[in-house]
Amino acid sequence: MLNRTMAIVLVLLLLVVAACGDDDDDNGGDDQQPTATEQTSGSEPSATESSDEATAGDDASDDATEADDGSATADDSASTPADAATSESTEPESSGDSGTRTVEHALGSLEIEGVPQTIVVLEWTYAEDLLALGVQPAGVADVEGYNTWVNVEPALADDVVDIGTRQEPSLESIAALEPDLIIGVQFRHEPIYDQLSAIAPTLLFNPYPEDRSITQLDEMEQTFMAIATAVDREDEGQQVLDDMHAHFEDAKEQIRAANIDDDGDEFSLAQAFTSEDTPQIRMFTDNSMAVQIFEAIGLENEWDGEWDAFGFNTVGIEALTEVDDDFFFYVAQDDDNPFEGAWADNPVWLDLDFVQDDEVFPLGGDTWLFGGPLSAELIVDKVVAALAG
Amino acid sequence: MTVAQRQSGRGRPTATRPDLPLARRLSPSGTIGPLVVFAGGPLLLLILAFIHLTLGQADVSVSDVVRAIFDPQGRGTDNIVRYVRMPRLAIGVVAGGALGIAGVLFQSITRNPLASPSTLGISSGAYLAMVVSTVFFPGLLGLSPVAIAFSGGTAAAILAYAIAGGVRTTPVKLALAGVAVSLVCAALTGALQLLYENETAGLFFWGSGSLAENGWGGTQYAWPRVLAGVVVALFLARALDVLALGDDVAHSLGQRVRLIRTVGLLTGVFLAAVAVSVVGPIGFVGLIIPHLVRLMGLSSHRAIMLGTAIWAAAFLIGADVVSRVIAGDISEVPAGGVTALLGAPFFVWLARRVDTTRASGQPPTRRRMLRLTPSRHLPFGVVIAGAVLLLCLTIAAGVAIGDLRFGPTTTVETLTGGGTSLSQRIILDLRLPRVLVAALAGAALAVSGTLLQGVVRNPLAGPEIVGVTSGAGLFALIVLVLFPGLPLGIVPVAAFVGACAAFAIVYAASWRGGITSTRLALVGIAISAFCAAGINLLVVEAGLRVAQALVWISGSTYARSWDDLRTILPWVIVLFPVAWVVARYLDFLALGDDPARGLGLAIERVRVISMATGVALAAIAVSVVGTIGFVGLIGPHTARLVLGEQQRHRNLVVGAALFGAILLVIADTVGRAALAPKEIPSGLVTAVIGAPYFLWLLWRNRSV
Repeated sequence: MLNRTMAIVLVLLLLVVAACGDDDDDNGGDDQQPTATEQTSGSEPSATESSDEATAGDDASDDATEADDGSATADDSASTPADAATSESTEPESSGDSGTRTVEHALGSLEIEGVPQTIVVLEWTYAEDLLALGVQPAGVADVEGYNTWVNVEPALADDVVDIGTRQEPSLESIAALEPDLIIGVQFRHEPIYDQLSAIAPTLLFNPYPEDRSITQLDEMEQTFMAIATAVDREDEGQQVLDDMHAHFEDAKEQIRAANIDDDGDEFSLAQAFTSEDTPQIRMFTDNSMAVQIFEAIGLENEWDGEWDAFGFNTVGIEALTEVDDDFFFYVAQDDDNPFEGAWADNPVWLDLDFVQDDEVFPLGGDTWLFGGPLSAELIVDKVVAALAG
Repeated sequence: MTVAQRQSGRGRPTATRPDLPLARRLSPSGTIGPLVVFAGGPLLLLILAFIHLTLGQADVSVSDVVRAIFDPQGRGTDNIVRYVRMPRLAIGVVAGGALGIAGVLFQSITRNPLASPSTLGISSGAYLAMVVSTVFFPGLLGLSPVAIAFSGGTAAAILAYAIAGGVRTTPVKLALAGVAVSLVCAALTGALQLLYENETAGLFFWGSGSLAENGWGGTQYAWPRVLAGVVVALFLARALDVLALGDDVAHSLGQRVRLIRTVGLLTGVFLAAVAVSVVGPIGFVGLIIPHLVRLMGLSSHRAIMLGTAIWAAAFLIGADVVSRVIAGDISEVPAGGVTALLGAPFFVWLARRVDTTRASGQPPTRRRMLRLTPSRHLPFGVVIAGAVLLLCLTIAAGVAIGDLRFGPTTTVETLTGGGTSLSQRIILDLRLPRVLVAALAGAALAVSGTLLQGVVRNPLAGPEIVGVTSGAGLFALIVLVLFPGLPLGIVPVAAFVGACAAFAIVYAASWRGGITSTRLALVGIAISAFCAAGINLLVVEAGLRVAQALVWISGSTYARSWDDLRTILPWVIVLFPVAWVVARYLDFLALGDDPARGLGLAIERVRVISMATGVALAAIAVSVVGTIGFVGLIGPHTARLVLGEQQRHRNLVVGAALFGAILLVIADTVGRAALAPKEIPSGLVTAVIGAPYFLWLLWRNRSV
């Protein structure tokens, strides 16, 4: 008897659940339109500001010359947010008349009406892109991580909301910000694209194109301009990219002038860290953005690894013998640097030509090799400081 | 029975050992075996070692290797061979030998052909202890890694024995208990690694051991300790020969049985701990090599130990050669994954043998699944009413609690159609669907566990143990990693197919003119290990999708939507009633095969229908929420705990469904709210809540 009643109760419960499912889905459909942009605060266009920042970046390169571990840049970013374009530019210029723009992204194209005022960014690179355009995002995933790994100016404003991890950002926090644009990365956020789109129009980019004819640097510039279009700052965006290329040319000149050239201009670039007690080295391949930047300033990558979408091969110390007659640049955290720890006394390491010739250049743990234009300039500054400083 | 005749004709005392019927039945007579072991083994080891030295990322020719060995001049290639490759080789030989001898000790002393460092939970216990120490007491680990690994391994072994019912337990019970302990340790290790993940170390080997070395440090640390362990083991060898004649004989021959046992077990744990502390948990070496050596006809323990050490070293080096070839010039594939891929099929074979030789070991004559202290249980109706109420409360809490808090009034208003647009969006679009998906997935897993436990007649059976969960994980990763072009919508489908395929394989491999529940469980363990190894290897190669793969493996109710609910709901609506109907017959099955047959039950049909239902439920749950562990184990046990041991399966199914749902809804809510806005995957929460609870349940229910 009891069993039978229980079964009936259970089935009823399931039916209720099913009913709920249908009802609420309708609700979701109604809610989909983002709220219209109301804020029309007048802040000045920031084209001049962003070029100012580019110069500030140049200044920073001088500091970086003295810094072995990148601490100078860290200090800079801590001290300058006040004078850089931060809170001023949080609200971009008034929209009213800018009409509709179409932005291409990894999952298709998106029509954007007006100028997005409240933007949530789920990946650090795109937060950096927005900052370069003089726009402060409203919410960023893993703010603490951003501040640790990405040290460019302008910095994130203090009132930027942390919306959780990059892999599983809190949809509730995002919804609570009532954004009018969300920017994410395809390889993390494609599975939740529908949910994100229900909250606000969503752009997902793929910084690691599987199409081998596109390098990561090309992709970075395209995405940067797509974001500039999305926030209606294409002129500023073009300016930032022009500045970046000018910066590359400058650096190329400086390196040539420094006449380092006994060993040629070949290099290899690594990121090193320890995993499960075992040091790991990521050697960057030709398609990676970091290597593209090095090549843009006249250096030539000697690591000839298998093509990889991320742009690096994970190897052990043996592999370094393949590239040891060139400059060796690496990024490692101060508290986890295998080249000064586990391998420091290993005869294989000590016997490498670049160790013997003193041509090993740590770039510092806070050099973000996967960032946007500002990170690119930082990388260039560090390389110039190492070779020509 | 020619083998039996042959062995009975040999007339040596060892031939009548009661503990090793497998070796006895299969060992070839004559001297070819020992010759193969002691001449072929070292030769094979030498060849593999040389091949091993020629493999690596740097360009080192064969003649460079030869010169580096015999005529080192400090050339670049000499350094590579002597300071990168030889340490890796040496650590493989030392660790392989240690694991092999540990396996011999465990198998002989426990008289259990399934015993080994990995099946007793020792390796994963030792590894867990090391990870705990890394996270919480880094100083302690620097002091003595072996001491920490040893204490972890010992604790795990004691736990496995306690759960299985003491030293006199049956091989199968002990193996299942060991797997349960391993599962718990691995879950806790994974949870710690995810929660304390160093940003840079995003890609870790997920707990399969690897031989990658930084220099001679590891070998220098390990070899004196392994040598000490081996010396003790060899010293015990004579005594073990006598012990093999049986405890009584050994007693009458003046052996101090208890002392020998204790020293032997501790030595085994010590050797395993040393191996884990330098190369991580590498499985199956200590399980299969002692058997192979015994199959060659060796009988004295001294010979078996020496032979095993050589062959285990050769096996591990061979596995590393395979892993380096798979990896190619770049990246690193953990050797532990390869040993598991090679070892798991052997374990299947072993399970089939063991079952025939010792099948009578576990007659399920009583319908008791667990032995609970008889206590007063509440009436079924009251319990169920309470559980329904509790479920409603947890769902309500799950809807109300999260990143943003809504008061009860707003929550109720929103649910009844009012509320602000924000509260509607968050509660109706985001929270309600995922809480309901969690409830249904939890219920499905728990019902699946109930059915599987009923069929296998073992309280440790569950979707995690019979291969369903890891099969789903493997197929999902195959799609994610090997076919990145396919749309993501395929992943759940692949998971479903994988779950069913894994179970089909388990079922087919367990079939020998019928199914016995013990064989099913053992084969399930092997297939699970195989799939887990495959998952490990794929994670290493996952490239762009590694972050997604890791989250998927740990299981998550993150961002589950009404679509997901629509996927799982029809299955649940169809399969729950089926489970409820078929559960009635599980009551008869619980009496044992023969009595059940005697009552006119079509045993095979009941088994197949129950298992198909259970597998389908687990598969659909896993395909929607990923490989969430422990719900399928804990749900049914909680139902038994509350409803009473002698409860009919029909009632258990209902109770388990409710408790499974409650558990996963709580896990989902905690995962969302505890570190908001950071999400903790609910699979980790169920592991952290579930693992200790599961151990407590097992401890409570341990046999005498």
